[in-house]
Amino acid sequence: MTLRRRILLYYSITLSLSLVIVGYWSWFEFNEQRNVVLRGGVEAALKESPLQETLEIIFYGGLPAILLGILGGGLLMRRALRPIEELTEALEKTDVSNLSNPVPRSGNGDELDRMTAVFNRMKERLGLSFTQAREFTLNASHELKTPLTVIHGTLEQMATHEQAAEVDRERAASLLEEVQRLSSIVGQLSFLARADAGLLPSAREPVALDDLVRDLAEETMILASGAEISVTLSECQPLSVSGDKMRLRQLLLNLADNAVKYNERSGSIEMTLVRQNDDAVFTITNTGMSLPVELRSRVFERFFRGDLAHNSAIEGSGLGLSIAKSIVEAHQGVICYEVLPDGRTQVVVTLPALLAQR
Amino acid sequence: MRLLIIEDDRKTAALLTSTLSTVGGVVVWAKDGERGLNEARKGGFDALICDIMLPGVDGLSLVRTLRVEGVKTPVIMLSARGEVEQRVEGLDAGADDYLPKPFASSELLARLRSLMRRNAGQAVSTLKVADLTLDVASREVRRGGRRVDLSPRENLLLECLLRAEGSVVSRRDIISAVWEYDFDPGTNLVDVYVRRLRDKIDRDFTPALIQTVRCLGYALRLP
Repeated sequence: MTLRRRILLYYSITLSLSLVIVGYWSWFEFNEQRNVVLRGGVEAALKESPLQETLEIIFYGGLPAILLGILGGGLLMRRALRPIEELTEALEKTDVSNLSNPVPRSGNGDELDRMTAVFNRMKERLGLSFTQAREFTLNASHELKTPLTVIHGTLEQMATHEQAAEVDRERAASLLEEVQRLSSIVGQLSFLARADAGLLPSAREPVALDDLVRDLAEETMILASGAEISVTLSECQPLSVSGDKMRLRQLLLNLADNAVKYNERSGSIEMTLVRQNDDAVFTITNTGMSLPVELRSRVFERFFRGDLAHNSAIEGSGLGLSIAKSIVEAHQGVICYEVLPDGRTQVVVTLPALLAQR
Repeated sequence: MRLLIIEDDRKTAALLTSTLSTVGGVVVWAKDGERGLNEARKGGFDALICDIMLPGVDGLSLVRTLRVEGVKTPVIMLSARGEVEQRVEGLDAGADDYLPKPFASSELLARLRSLMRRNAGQAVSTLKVADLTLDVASREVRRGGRRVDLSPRENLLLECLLRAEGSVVSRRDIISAVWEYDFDPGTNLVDVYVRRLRDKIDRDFTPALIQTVRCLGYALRLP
């Protein structure tokens, strides 16, 4: 039944019921009047004034009718609005991940059903453009790889060509550096595009996160030794997560690399791995310049590089943290970036932990 | 060394041809899968270098067909598609190695070298350049007769450079040989380790053997 008809039907039923009540009380009053006249004559009937009679009808017939109307109306509203609530819930749950699942339709052709259909079509179109954007990035990065190979190889030959003049070799080497930067960006874009499309090869095996974190601390110490940055692993509880070991290594190294790059001379890096309820929580905190408040929410955006990076000679494409985020999300985890009151920068990764079995 | 290149992109094929001819390779070029298959069936090649995305017969089916027919020529696959999945697919199909684009010519040559070595079946017990030796089994390193203590990573790094027999080894190849990472860590990990290795094997000795080749990587050889 269409929404309009349903409301009309409920409305009519409520009105009819009210009418029945009012009618019944009127009948009751008139019947009583008649009985009084029959029993005690006209005088007896005159004892109750018309006003009194009317009040009785209003009180006993009208009020219940109004009450019924209000209750019935409330019920009617609730029932009529329920499909709208359901649709709102479905709308609220809509995000990039479920664009391909349509909202179930009642199929009765009413206004809401049509609205659901329109909404589903919109979801479909949205899904299509997301897919197109994703595929575009994926294809673009693939298409760029072959020409990059040719350019790289040719420059390689030029840079190592022994008969060439020193200045030409120097030029070729300088171009080679740029081609390598370009290749690395293309590689990162292709990684992100595959992550977006859910194409990341995701081995689901138990990974001892504490082992990875200990290795990482050691590696970071070596990376940071040049700038005399101290690295401490203040707590490392035995914790396992389910996931892809290689991608988790990539994630950790990525965060550690940032902590070294954006640090200051003689600064410090602190890491912890602890269990919090059912989660494994890895934090990495580093000294150094922190991002201004207004830019902090944007650190996971693609190609975002704070002024810090633009002003200094720090290498990077601004895709590192986006990659970290996509790895964390592929492992059903959460990553956040904050600046502590003491000015240190902290990145916290929360991953669902496997139950302790070791 | 006779090599067959199966690659539809003319410029990539030209680059591969000129790279391979610098190491004395004689190259035959097939520009699609069908021609590649026919050439490969004729035999007489030391190795095949085959792109995965090809018009007609694609690289994976080509290798599969060859293996079914009993052609055992070693194959290196090239691909611009996803790295890890395609590596697995390529090796499953019967390829011997896989090189993701974009790659450096030195990386292709390194793979070809290790393929030839594997095929020749020669197991070396000691790797050696000048007065620097690495005993593959005991991991013992000596320079000028004196023992040098290296960490396990430094040891692997040295082995990786020694095995290249004086050729340049790219950072990506070092990363995958020493750390077994399949990703670009974006750090200067390799450079830091090379510096540490230099401190141990080159600082107190002449001549210095580890050479930095700008943009391309490192080489271990007599200057």
